Amino acid sequence: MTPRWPAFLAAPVVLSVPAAHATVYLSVEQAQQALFPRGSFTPLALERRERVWRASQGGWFILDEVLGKHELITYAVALDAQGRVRGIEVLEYRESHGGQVRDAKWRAQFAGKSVADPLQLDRDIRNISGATLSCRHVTDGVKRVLAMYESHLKQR
Amino acid sequence: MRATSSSVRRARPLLGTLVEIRATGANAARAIERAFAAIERVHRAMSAQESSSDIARLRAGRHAALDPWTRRVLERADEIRVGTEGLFDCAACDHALDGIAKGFAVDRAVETLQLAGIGAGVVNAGGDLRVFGEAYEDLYVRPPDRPHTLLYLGRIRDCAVATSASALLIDPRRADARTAPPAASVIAPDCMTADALTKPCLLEPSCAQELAARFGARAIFPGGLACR
Repeated sequence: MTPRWPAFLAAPVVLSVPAAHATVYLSVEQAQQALFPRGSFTPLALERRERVWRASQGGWFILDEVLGKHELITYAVALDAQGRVRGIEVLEYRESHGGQVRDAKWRAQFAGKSVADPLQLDRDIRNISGATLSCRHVTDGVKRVLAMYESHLKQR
Repeated sequence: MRATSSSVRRARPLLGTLVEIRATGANAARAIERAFAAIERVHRAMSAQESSSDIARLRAGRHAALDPWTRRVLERADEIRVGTEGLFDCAACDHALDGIAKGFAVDRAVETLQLAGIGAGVVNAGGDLRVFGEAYEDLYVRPPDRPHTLLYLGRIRDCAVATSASALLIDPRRADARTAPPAASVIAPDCMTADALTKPCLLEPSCAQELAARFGARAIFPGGLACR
């Protein structure tokens, strides 16, 4: 198959737009059903940053956020009854450049936000090629969730 | 979840980046699940970080136990090495296979979605992306040297795009660092080809279009052609 694209792609790039965008992939309920199909979920009150639910089929649904240099990612980890990762889903991805992440006002907009209440930052920007996004913060977050399981959930 | 013919989007951390899949069609959620499984297979086989991967087997000279998909990547890498006269060379750069494996994973995910009956969608592995279906999609590039901006490139249909920065670019023919334009994007029929061609285009920008044309592809330099 020959790729098809309009002739004007041959011209130099002309337009630049601010590089901020947000995408909502799943609500908490949708993520729960994706990771534990047909499950029901009991929230657990922990003095922790993560939010934890016990799944009816055994295992745990843990909701967490990681703040990278330029992005805030809300993700969920599903652990089986033995504490093994059975799945990871990204619920929401918000990105901002130009130092806004370190700006208290930019961070404050996330306080009290639920994933059902999305920000509308250029949500239509979809196909971005270029600088690879690192998922290191999510990987580190999952490690922290596993440590939290050992210390807070394993004995329950 | 109910079966739906609307658009479904998911993202997961894989291949060292966030992989996003969007699919439109009946049972899109299930098809996306299968597409992620294909990407996980590539991740397991070809991650440079996983000690049990085929990369580790290749380094140890154990070719017998390779995943058939790894063989396909190696074969295609060799075709591209010949077609670019050595400008793309997996053997010369330890991480090159890891690099094009991302494009290959995007292609396998698209194939999986299409086999599941999905008519249109996008797979984007942290900037290596492929769109399929009848609709035109807007394409943006985040220049690796200017991550604060998004450049609008135009609209694409049924093709793949990959972008590389020239920081620490090693010329496989001379095994030394080269100056090059800041970034190159390649639009190609498939994502592994797009991925593989970005570095040859950076190394020889003056013949980038000719190199790309050999593979039905096209090069764009989002930061201009001036070498740094």
